[in-house]
Amino acid sequence: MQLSVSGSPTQKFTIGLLRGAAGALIFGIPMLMTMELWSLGFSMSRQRLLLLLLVNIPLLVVLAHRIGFERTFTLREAVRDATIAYGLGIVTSAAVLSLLGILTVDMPANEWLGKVALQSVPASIGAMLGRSQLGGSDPDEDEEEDEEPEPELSTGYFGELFMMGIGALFLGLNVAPTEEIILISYKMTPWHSLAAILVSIALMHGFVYAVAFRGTHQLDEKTPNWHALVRFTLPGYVVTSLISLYVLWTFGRLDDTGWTQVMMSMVVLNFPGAVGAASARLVL
Amino acid sequence: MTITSRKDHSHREQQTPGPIEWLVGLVSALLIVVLIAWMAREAIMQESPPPQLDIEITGIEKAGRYFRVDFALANRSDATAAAVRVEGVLRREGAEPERSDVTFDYAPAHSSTKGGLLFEGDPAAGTLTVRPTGFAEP
Repeated sequence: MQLSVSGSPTQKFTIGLLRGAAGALIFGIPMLMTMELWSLGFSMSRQRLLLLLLVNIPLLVVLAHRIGFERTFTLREAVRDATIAYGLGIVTSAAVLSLLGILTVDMPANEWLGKVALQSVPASIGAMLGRSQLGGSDPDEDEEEDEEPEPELSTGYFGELFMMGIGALFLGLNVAPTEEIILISYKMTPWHSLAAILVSIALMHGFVYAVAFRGTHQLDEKTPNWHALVRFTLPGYVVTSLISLYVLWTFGRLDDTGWTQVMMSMVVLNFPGAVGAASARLVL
Repeated sequence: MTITSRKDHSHREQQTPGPIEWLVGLVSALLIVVLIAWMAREAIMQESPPPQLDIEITGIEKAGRYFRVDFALANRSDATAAAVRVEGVLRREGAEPERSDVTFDYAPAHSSTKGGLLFEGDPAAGTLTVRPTGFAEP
């Protein structure tokens, strides 16, 4: 039986939920199966975990407003969608962790809570993305679009930077907890990190402006290329750096660490972060 | 500002950017130049000397059945050390020396890492030495 999206409102909503759960799985599984995140779930600072959980709320609301489960126009609807995504993230994380035998009944409640709470952050972002990226367009809506072309949607400058931040955060959460990020920063010499900075910036710029992906940004012929570099790519790199620092700090990777080492870890994490930020601009 | 068309999912940057965009861009460019300059300075100045490890005991406390000796492992060099083994020896009169050890995954450059050793005897009643005994390059 093929599920039709153009059914009753309840059916539509159920399908939306399933897509969200699918998204939580697709985007969450790499993290749900990362050893470091299990131990971080109970070992990381509770204050920082709480902060991460709180930061996730406005983040989901803004994300919901842009791409949500249904096209949301009011704040109330965005909050509702964000709540659903967070809920889906929690349920999916708990289910997968139980399935994999990482959560067992003899564990203290504190450990359960910590592990599920930490995983629910990336999973809830995944749930939100799943709805937007997996959801095919309705046949009905397509017809409507043919009849009356929708007005072009204008994204604020800071909205654009925000989207880059989400992309960087998502990839950052994926890789920052792993031992490898720290190990790589120890193995790299400052020359390597100089190269990494330049390559990251070039990738960010290339992803969005040079390679003709779907959703590529176009520049007017009159506008020189460096305009976009200064206005979007460089601020994007700074946003990515801030997100990297935040994620590293959250996982306690910066405690009692020298400044140069902090910068090195940041540059390492900026590499995946830059790719995440650039793809967020294309996808979202 | 960016204009997104829902239909073909492409974006077009508007040609008249506001002054705020240039301001943010300029500040960002400045920050990145500072970051690059910092790394370049490190790259040129760094001579990669071997790690220089040091231990500072920060506290001795009775914790349950054992005595816990807290310490910080500092690395004052530009090079990071891996697999740093720290050994504590407690010598008391009329008793065999008591040894305990711990291995740190990393001692990052110019950073300090905290750890602890556990002893059965009271460290205050004897002489305690805690020192790093070896490391590997990461």
